[in-house]
Amino acid sequence: MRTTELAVTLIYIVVCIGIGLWARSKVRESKDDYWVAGRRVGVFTNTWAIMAALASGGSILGVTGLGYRLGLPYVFSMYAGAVVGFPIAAILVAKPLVNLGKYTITDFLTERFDSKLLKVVIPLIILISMGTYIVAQMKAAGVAAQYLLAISYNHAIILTSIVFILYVSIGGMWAVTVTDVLQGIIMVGMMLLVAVISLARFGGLGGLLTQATAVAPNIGQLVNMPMSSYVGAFVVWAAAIPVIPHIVMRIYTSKDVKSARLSLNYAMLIYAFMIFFGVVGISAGGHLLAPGLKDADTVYLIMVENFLPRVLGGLALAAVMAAVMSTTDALLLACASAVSHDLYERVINPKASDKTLVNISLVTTWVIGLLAMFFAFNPPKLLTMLYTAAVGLIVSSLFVPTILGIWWKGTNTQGATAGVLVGAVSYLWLLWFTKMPALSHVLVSLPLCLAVTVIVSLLSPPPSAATLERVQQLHR
Amino acid sequence: MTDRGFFPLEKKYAAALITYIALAVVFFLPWARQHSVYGVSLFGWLMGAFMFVAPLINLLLLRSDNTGK
Repeated sequence: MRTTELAVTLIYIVVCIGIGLWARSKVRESKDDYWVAGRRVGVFTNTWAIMAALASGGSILGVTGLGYRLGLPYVFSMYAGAVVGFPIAAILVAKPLVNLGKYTITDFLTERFDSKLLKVVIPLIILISMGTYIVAQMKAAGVAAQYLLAISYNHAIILTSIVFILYVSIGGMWAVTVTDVLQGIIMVGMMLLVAVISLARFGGLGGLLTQATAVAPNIGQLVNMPMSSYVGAFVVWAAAIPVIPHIVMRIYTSKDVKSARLSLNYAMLIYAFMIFFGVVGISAGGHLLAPGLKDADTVYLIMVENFLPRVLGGLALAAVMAAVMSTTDALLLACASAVSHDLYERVINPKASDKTLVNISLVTTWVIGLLAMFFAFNPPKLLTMLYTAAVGLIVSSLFVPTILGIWWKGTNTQGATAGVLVGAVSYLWLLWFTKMPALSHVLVSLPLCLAVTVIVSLLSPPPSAATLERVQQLHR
Repeated sequence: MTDRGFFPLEKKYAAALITYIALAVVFFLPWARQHSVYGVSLFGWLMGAFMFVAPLINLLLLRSDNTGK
């Protein structure tokens, strides 16, 4: 047991639960407060919350390990896609969604396209893909806590899961927002601190890279992967951001359109600093401090142990937990809203009161969280494949109908429904039944979804004037 | 007559979108993989720079934007 690290982590956990209890009084009877923090979140808060929601467990341990193993160009091409996705979201979806004033991506799609099938299919796609994402994050939390606190994997899973299920269930979006700000600041601060120390220790940017690429030339070059994998990784994340549920919910929390657009771009600027300097300082520096690591994902932890005093080291380790929890809490809320709002309120009982919906959300959060915890005890061996499928599935099925639904007047219900189904089915088929290069499947499924949506829309009756008038209002 | 046109997008944002797509296409072309700076492929540097350039372009455009305020 590492006492100092454990003490810092426990303080951090107590603060997170305290925030959940504080938020409870704000969200008790209002679904607006529970799901979108009353639409009162300002630029500073939303910037950090968006950044933290995107920066998952993979953004500290995974990204530095990936940079150490596969090189800087691979990591930059993958993360540039996510970063570019945010300006695209700011331009293409922020204004219509803020003006719609609802809660989820399903709200937009089912208001734009009057289809009972979509009302059920879209929440199911979200539940499957985001549920898989949560299991992957819980596994990362378990591995990190096991290493950092020297406790068993299962105990680590239980500890971290109970904490974020508790504060999400009682505090809803208010708790997620405030904890995400805290978690975002901790993770960026600690990642940059370690990176800056490494850069200073090894002679600055030029000196460090010259030495590191002399020791390990491959980290500066493209690894032996097909170019379609690089392009696919870029496209998956660039197209995911405008439709991925936990980021879309953050757009709805914004006070107004400009606030949403500013938050999305500031968040990505901070994220870019964290990824760029983290990878250069830690991944490249790692080859000088600890060459030939068998487990590349431990390079950040080795840097922390070598460069920081115990208390700061504890905080740097809490940053890993923060990265995991800040993404998982947002994902959990997105899943809970898919059940309680998208399915229960919109399909089963449209007259449910706010209090009933908040209570259903609370119960749903626990059920989904505990189910994910159960799967995380024995995570599937193909977890990486499933996690990639999670994001790819959302992109392949929802990106085209959402963007065309907002911008092309000709998109109709038949076209969107066909697009969602063909996008989802073709992506899963390519993923499981072909041997295409990793991450490249979306390069086929996305154009297929586009072609089907457009062709079916053109071959069937156009949307009504009333529908187009409603969409026009979203652009006002 | 059925209207199957597009809803208008402000020119500056349309230009920004086209710029992002054009930059991505140019960066993925083979020329960027044939040069190195400090031992790191130019492709890597360009992708790294892209992470800063894209949000900065948008923030510059937003300075003159009063939408939704």
